[in-house]
Amino acid sequence: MSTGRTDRPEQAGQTAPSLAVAAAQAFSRHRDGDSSAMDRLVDDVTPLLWHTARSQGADRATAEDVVQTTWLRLVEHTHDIADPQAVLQWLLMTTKREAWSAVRRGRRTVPREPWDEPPTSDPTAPAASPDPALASEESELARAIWQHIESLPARCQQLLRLVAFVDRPDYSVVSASLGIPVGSIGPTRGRCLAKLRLALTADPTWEVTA
Amino acid sequence: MTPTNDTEDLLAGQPMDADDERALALVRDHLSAVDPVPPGLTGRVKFAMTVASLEAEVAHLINEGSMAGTVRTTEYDRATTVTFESDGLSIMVTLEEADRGTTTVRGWVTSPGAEVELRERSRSAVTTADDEGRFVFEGVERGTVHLVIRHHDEPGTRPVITPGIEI
Repeated sequence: MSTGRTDRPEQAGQTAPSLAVAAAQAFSRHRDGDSSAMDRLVDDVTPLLWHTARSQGADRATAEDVVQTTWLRLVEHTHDIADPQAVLQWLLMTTKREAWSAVRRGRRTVPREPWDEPPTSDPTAPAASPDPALASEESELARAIWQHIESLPARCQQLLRLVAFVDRPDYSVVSASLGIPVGSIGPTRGRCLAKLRLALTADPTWEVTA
Repeated sequence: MTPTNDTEDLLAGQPMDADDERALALVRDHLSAVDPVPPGLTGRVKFAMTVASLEAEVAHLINEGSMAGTVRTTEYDRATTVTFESDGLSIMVTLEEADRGTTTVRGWVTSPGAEVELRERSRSAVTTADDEGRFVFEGVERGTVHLVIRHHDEPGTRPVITPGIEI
């Protein structure tokens, strides 16, 4: 494979930097007393945790609490995490669990469980109203793709939403954290990406620019 | 099996290609635009983690001329003198412009001989307050800093940390 592609994330293959590895290294340095290592870890991983919380049904205020709580749990459990390589998965699973219980607490009067909800009623879906400042062709296309994802099963929505924020080496960590079998996406397309691809193939917006 | 299912099976078994990567990159762009991480979240997280890991007490900003006892740290952006207070400890900090865009941080703490740590974005410096509680840090670069005060003369007391100070 070509190593010249690493500077182009949209085409990155197995040489893309792994967030899990970077997180493990930062966490090890933190445990060795490097006080700035944790700051870098927070900068690198927070976007992924944010979207993990949001994809579990947390509104923005709840997601913010969930992300803060997750990082504080890491401080509490710094010495309980035996393998630094597992820190990214630990963070993702903690975020998912915290978000899930926060959402459930917030909806006590609603008899249904989160997994019973049809995707269309997701109150956490990003605002659909177009931002005039972003009304370029690319953003039109991005919005079209997002609309296709929103019509996929909830688990596919969660998976695609998160893998969009990592490179291929981290797909397995993201899948595992969501409880989706490893290999459900990458190196082959897998079910969720295939469903998206099928929808895109039938969409003139995508066909024109692809 | 419908033709659609067949096609989906076929697609699912093929390797990911550049178009898949492109679609995911666009999803990332879209979500970053419509559902961004709240500004300041990582800063608040880092501060909360520091406080938790030090088991520190957070000093409050004393804002003269205001009814409120505390204000958000952003409201004294680049102020020259600020005072913080915690149980049994006051800290006064004066910022002076110095060479090459750096700042000299002069301070005074009501605990002579206390260890004073200045935490910058990616480094930290430690000094000891003199007999009158004075301390100084030179060559501090722009950004948010925190002071951590440890008074070793009273065993068992928690360190005190200031909210972010904008340099």
